[in-house]
Amino acid sequence: MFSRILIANRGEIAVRVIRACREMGIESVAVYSDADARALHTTLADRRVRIGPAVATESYLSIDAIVGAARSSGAQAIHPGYGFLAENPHFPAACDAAGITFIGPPGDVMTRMGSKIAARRLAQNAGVPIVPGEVPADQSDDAIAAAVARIGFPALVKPSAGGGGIGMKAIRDPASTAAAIAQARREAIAAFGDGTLYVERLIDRPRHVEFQVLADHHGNVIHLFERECSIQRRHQKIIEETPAVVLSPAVRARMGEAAVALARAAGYRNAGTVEFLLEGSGDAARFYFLEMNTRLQVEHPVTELVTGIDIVCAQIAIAAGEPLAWRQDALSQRGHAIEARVYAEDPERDDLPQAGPLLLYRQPSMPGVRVDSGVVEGDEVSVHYDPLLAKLIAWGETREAARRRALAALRDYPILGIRTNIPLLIELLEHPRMIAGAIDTGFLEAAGAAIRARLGRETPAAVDAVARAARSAGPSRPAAGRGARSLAPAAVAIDPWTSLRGARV
Amino acid sequence: MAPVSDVTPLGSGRYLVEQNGQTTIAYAVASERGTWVFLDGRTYIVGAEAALRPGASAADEPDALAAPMPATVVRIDVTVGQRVTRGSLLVMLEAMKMELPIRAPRDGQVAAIHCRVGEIVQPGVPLLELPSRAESDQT
Repeated sequence: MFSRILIANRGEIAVRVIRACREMGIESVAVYSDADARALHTTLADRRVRIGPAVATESYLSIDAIVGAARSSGAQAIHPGYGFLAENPHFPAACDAAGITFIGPPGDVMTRMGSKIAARRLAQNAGVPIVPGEVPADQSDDAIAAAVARIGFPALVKPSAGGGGIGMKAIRDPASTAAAIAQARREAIAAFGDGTLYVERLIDRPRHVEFQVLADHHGNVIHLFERECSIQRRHQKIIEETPAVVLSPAVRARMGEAAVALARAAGYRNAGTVEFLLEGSGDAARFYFLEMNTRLQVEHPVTELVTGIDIVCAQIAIAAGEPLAWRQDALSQRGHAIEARVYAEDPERDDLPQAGPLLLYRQPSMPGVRVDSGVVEGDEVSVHYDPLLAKLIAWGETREAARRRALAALRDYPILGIRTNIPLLIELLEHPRMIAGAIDTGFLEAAGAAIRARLGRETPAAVDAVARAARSAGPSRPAAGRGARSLAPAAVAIDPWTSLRGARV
Repeated sequence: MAPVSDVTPLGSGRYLVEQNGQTTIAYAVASERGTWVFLDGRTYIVGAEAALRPGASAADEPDALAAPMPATVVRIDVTVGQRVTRGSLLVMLEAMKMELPIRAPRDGQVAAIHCRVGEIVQPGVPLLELPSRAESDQT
């Protein structure tokens, strides 16, 4: 087993991995950019190394800086988290070259699964159903438009190199084709530095169901059942759960077998996720392989809560060469888990990302509720990185019990100083279609306007009374010479309670 | 009208609210940007920043359009003097990996452009000017 691991990430996932290391008696090394010099993950690790300026390309995306930090700190292994370098095949290669173990799949497997064409071919050969689509060899706008017409409407164009829904555009009629291609191309280049586009049939009203797999270095591959991630906004997941409501035991078993077969065919190692689109429900449901994510997923905790397996600890054990500790037939799903992603964004304003100080931040604590967070009170949420603040995961004996717990916890999760999507999460969890489990990936788009209209409800009288009481207690911090309208990160450290100490409370 | 609530500070930003025999915990912090209040899963800003919220007052919007947050200018779709209609795309910003379109809040004519492609703009700093004019009253 390793004695020291570097975590090449930030935010909640860095914190998550650091905690796993501590449990396992492994020293952790955090890395940070100048924007994160005081960030939670750097304060929890055993060591910390500055890797560059705020701009991600020169810090969290710099292979040289991170491998250099691993060398200088004496780390034997690197955990990439998700995002940033987690799916960059050059990263495991650079780790190998430096004699450092990469906690994840080999670079060549990553390359194969990262290419949608190669992954689809592999799936086909492994007998796993796929959605009709292609990466046109001619990548001109006209050729992409011709491919869209060939595949038929509705179609989807997306970056071949992509993930996370970035640059993905639905095309429903010929008139909107050109604009969609241009926008997908721009976002593809901006996000991945590669404008290659992929065109496929859009399966209308599908459910997004993915299977967690674990593969060791001894030929063992298992799956940890499914996660349903159908509540998405612009193809970004916001609520995930397991088990999937519509999955019959027979279809679950077939999908699990398909996921394992694909991982085996790919020569996969470590934790990965096989994503499927699911059409229909019950035993008649059909599934199509979408893509394989060669990393830990944001939503891994729901699987942990129903299977009892710590996926991050499993990743570290697998990378250290240990055989899987579980046989497939010994695994089962117990109860139900729901994850709600808490984002620094304003649901009343087009989900505009928010930056600013966390003047007050109090996580709920109650039975069956877990919060994986990357921030603490007093932190400054910056504009440099992803707006995910934390994930709230609720477990219950039944889906309804988990849903109620998630709601109770979100209502007891005050975050002040920036807007968050918590009001939207509450509305979603209270929605009749969510209660009934009648959710597909188009749900938020279809029901979004009505849900968001409810967010603008009038201010209760009690709010003004509380505000008056808070004002008489005094401002949380002295004016720092910044404009009242500025949302820019404050240059000063924030300690909202310093000035409250004199107040009679 | 609802009866006046009884509010008792509990310390560390916590407040006990008693109203009609019901008790609730609220959280609040006063800041230079207004007073933030959390009550039953919702966040409210009382004072200063309320004016920044959408739909607060479409009528008295300033002539200048500003970035809502620090962002990079990706594209400028208009030129000075160009007539635009409400909702048309003026400037595309990018922040936190997301495209952030700045659209015309009303019909009008672009009077000035204050940003360049590639520039990192700060919130509140004008990107361009689209004067609100009397003639827009018709809409």
